[in-house]
Amino acid sequence: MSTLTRRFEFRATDEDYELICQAAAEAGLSLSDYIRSRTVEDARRELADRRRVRIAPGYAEAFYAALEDASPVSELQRLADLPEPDLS
Amino acid sequence: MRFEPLTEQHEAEGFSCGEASLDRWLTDHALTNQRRSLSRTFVAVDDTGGHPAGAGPVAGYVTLVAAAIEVAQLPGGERRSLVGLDEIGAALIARLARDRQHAQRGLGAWLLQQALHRIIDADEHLAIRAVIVDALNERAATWYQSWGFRPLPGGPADRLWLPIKRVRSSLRR
Repeated sequence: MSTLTRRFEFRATDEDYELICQAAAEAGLSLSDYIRSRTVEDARRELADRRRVRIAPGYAEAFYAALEDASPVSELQRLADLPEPDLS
Repeated sequence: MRFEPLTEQHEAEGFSCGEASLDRWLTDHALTNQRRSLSRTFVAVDDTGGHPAGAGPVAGYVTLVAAAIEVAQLPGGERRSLVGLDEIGAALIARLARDRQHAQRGLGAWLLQQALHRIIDADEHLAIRAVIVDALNERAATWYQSWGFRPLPGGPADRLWLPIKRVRSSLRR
């Protein structure tokens, strides 16, 4: 296990504090182990979610049809013709 | 104007696009994520300032990430249930911003144009089939839509996309 070298400090409301303490006790973890493990889990999931987009069941056909469309997009053709900006 | 990978020599401090989270990303996280190979950030640098390649003040930036589109597969017939997932390789334009002092000069559009060319180049080697953009808010979504990006069929509301074939045929040089 990696050494714990970084320190977090944050404030919480009385209600949130009590809630987190109760959940940590239920999970059989110290307060810091509980907060760390749950936050890391959430962070991993959130990062993975940002890189994955799910197409809802029932839309596969429409998605695959759109995926094969190779027709030019007029707005993008306009983008291609834009000159380099002059910042001077 | 240069479009080049972000380095430690670029001057990111003081970058201000009007959206604090995008400023903070550039100053605090972009390089770290790049070192971890989680994302690639390219910056726009005014090349009239005499700065060597890989250095100079950042006028704008765009962050690209390898992504995937998961497509839920359903069998035909009346009793439809999920039978699996197809995974489609995609490029995600995760962040794009330009400094406020360069507003109204077409810098954002130029960053998008350059990013799409990089993605087309990457597709030669990696078989990217779609370009997804992460629209931070409604204003950003409207801006991306003005360049032709559309909501994904059955996808989340904050993600817009275009198939790579359409991007390629539109930007053909």
